[in-house]
Amino acid sequence: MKRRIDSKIVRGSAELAIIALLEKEPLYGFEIARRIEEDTGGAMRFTLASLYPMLYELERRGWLKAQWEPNRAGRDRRYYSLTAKGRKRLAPLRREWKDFFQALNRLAGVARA
Amino acid sequence: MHDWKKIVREKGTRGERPLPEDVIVELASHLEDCYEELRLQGAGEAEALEHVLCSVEWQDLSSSIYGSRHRWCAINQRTQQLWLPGLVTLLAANLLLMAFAHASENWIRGAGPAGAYLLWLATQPLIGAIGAHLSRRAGGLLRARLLASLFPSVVIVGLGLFLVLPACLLFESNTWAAAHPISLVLRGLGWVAPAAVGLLGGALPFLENCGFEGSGLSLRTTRQ
Repeated sequence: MKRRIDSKIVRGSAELAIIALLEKEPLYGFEIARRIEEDTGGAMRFTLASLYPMLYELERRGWLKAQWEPNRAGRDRRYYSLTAKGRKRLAPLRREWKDFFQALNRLAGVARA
Repeated sequence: MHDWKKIVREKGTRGERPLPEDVIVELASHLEDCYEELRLQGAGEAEALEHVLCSVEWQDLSSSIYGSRHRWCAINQRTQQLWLPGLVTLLAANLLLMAFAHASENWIRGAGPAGAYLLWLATQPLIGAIGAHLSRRAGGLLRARLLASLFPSVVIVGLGLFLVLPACLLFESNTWAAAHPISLVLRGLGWVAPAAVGLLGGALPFLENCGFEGSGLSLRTTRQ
């Protein structure tokens, strides 16, 4: 049971990380993984097998759209950008996570740890 | 120069699910970027290649990508978490009811329909527990577990309200039913409610620790 909840948390946080990052600018898969790792100080890392299934699922849900474009080096890369539907989902997701951390803080004093 | 597409095609394809070509191109680009980054950081060619290839969980890649791209996987998940356990509980409840009715007529003298019903009621917690357990085992959350365990009662109520009652009123010209529809519904509910309580009682031990709903995180079910 614990493992299932853990995986839900990881999955939910990964979704938020991706769409929050793409709110700023369209990025391709490798850049998304690198930026998330850098911005979280290595606390959150994506592997190939975890990143792309999530990107495809978010695309299927209509939160992201993808298109092939050349990157700075002139190579074709698949750039992901946030759709209007994804943008609309961002605020409730942020609120849910804020509530979650506040609840966890009340329970376990995470902020003081 | 490595043929990254060939590597992804060969290592990423498992069983009968080959990766789509656009996915192969995208994953190959990703691996190539990883490789080049490692090379820029000073890794040797062989070392960088090994590191890149070892960083990928090839076994899960094909199935997880397939699942994320096809809607039927989500439907399949719902089937496993709700419809199959629900069907099992419905079948079990009906088969047991028929068996007890048959037994009360033939083997248990004096039991009658009431005896058969009481015996059947006694088995409902077990059926509810089976439904909730099967749903939980498939990763079902609170709603799925509840529905799977209560499925026989839900179906009977649904059939009664939307099929039997209208049929009585419309086609059989049942004058008593036409005159007392509320009474008919209450009698039906009086027959189903104890079974639903039994099913729920059996399911209760399997309803713990399922406060997280939906694809993201929702605290709706955990707030008190």
